[in-house]
Amino acid sequence: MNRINPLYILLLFVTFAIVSFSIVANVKKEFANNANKMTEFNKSALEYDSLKNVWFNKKRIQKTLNNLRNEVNIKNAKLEININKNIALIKLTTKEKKVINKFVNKILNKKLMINKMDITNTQVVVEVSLK
Amino acid sequence: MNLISNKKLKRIFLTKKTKVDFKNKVDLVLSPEFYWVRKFEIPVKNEKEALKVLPTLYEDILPDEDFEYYCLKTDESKFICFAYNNNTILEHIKNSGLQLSQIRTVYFAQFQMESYESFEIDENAYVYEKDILIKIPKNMILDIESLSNELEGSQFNNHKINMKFYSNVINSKYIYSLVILLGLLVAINALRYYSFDKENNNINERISKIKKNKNMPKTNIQTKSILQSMKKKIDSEIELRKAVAYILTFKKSRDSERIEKISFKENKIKVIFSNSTWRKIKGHIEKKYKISSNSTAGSFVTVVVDI
Repeated sequence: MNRINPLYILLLFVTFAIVSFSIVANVKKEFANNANKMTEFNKSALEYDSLKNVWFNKKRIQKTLNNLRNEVNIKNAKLEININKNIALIKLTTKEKKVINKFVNKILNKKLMINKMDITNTQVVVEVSLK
Repeated sequence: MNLISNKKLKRIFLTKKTKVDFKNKVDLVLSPEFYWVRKFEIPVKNEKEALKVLPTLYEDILPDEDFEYYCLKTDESKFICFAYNNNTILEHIKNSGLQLSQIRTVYFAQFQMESYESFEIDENAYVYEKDILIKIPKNMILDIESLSNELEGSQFNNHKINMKFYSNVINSKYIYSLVILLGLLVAINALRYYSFDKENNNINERISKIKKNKNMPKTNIQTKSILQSMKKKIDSEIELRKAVAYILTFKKSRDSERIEKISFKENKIKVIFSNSTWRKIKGHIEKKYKISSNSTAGSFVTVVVDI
C-alpha cells in the first residue's frame, strides 16, 4: 500500500465521482422524461378511455338504443330497433310531427356514430355504427 | 539446489555517498545519517501509543520538516525511537542510482549491524555507543573494519521501516480525507441512481398496467393514431349534427312552405324543400355551408350540402 501514491487513489476516486455524477445525471434525465411521458400517457389514456367508452362502446350504444323505447311516446308512434353485429337500424313511424321532432332531437343529442339518417314528416330512419 | 533462491537479492548499506549500478531487487539498510535515534522512557503500554507522543518528544531535536516515526519497546516504559524524513531518503535512493521499484524492504542500520562494534562504509565510520549506532569522524578510530556497500549475509530481523515510496506536497491524511469524502459522494450517487432507476421502472410498470386495464394498444404511436381517428370521426359527427340543426332553423314564410325530407350520409346532407324559392333556400344555407348541388322539380327544391 505504501508504494501506491495516495494521489493516484484520489485521482481514481475523483474519476469515480465524476462518472457517478454523470450516470446519476443521465438517470435523472431519463426520470424527468419518464415523468413527462407518464403525464402525457395519463392524459391520452384518460381521453382514449373516455372516447372509447362513450362513443365506441358497443354495449353502451346498445343500452342507449334500448333506452330509446322508454323515451319515445310509443302510443302515437311505432319504433323498430334492429341490432346486428356491426350496425343498428332504428325506424320510427308516426303521424305526429311533434314526435318526429322530439325523436330527431333525442337521436342527435346522443353520443352515437350515425352512418345514415333519413328524416321525413312521418318517418325517421337511422343507421348507427356499432364498430 | 534451492528452488527459491536469494542469489539475485542484494543487501545495500545506503549512505548519502552511495552509488550503485545494478538492476536486481535490493534490501536497503539505512545509514544513521538518515534518521534520528533516541531512547525515551514513555509511560504508555505499547508502541502504538508511544508513536503518538513522539512528535512532541522530538520537537526540540528535529529541524522544521515533515518526519515519520518508528519505535520499539525495549523494556517496561522504555522505547528506542526513530525519526526519519521520508522524502530525504527517497531523494538519496534516487541519487544512488537505484530505482524505487528495485527496493523490496528498508531497514535501520541500528538493528542490522549489531555483529560489528564499529565499521567503515563509503569513507564514513560508524560505532555502537551505548547500544546506539552513530556516525563518527573516520579519524576517531584507528582499527576499524572496512565494509562494502553490498553487505554479506541475508539475516534480517523484523524491524523493517514502513516507508512511503512516494513524495507528496500534500499530507496523505488530507488526501485520504478527500478520498473518503469522494467515496461518500459516490455512495450517495449510487443510492440516488438506485432510487431514480426504481422510479423509472415503476413508471414503466404503471404505464403497462394502465394499458392492460384499459385495453390500450401496445405502442404510443398506435394509441395516438387511434385517438386521432376517433376524434376525427367524432368531430365529423358533431359537425354534421350542427349542420342539420342549422338547416332545420329554416323559417317558413307560409304554411305550405316546408322541409319534406332531410337525409345525411358520408358528410353530405340532402334536403328537399317544398313550396319555397331557390333564392331563399340558398340565402339560408350558404350563410354557413356550401351547397354542392341543387335541382328543382315542380314545387320541390333539392339541395346537397357538403360538410
